[in-house]
Amino acid sequence: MSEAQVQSRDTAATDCARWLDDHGDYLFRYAIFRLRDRTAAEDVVQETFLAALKTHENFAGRGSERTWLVGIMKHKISDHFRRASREAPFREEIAEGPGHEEFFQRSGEWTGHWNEQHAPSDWHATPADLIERNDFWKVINDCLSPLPKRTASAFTLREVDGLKSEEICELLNISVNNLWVMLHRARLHLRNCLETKWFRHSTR
Amino acid sequence: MKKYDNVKQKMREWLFHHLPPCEAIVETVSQSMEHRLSLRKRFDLKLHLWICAWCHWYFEDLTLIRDAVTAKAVDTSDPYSISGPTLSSEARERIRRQLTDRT
Repeated sequence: MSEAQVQSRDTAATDCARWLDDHGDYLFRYAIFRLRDRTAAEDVVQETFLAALKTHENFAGRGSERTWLVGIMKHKISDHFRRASREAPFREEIAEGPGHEEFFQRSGEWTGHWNEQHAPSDWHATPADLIERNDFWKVINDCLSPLPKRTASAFTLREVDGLKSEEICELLNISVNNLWVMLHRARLHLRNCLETKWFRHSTR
Repeated sequence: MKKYDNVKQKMREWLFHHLPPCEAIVETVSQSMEHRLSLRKRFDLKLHLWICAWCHWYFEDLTLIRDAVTAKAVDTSDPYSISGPTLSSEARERIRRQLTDRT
């Protein structure tokens, strides 16, 4: 091995140790927020670092290290979704989520209309009011937790990552109608949860 | 004036009974965020939101959530770093070993 090769190998080793310290937790949070599963997120972080090690020389300090690692991880997350949806094809998991039967009246003249205690209220808020909150992602994450994993993943892929419907359907191996139902259930649940956590004390 | 209010109220009630109920409308609200609705659905949605404050707020809230999430996602700062989950020490060690083995 030439001196240059040894030096390059040593640099890679030092860089890797530092990546893990500097970006390990960030990447883990990024992954778990989308995959909704601890083990899967750990695996994806590991795959990301190993892939980063291979392409280490191509990076050569262009742009931010974190952005580079996140770029690699996005592919690893997609790979994981494809693998998982092939192994466990979509079943009707919609019924497994938290029920929202009580949101709407089940009998009488106003069947199918809001039950007053669950009806939406005026938040009197702007996007900026929400964005400024320090607990923004934590509350979104907590509110997504009771949902079936695939439903929560569909929501984050759609709203956080801004993927198109067709891309999400391909990743999760679901029909577009399935996706729409999942997104609807996620939104119905999330909106109510955010209202309870952020707004109800001041508006009711 | 009272007569006018009465007529307005009667008209609202009539519309409520002839349009799809809130439960169906909230699903349409979500669909409207995914694709262009049929003319009929758009008409039902518009009319329902016009007479129903609750569904109107539902629509506003979802739009607000979408705008806030989109704006926040662009910000590259750590997502929910406060008391957010961290790599377990076992996973961290495993990754460290894997990386060392390959360098």
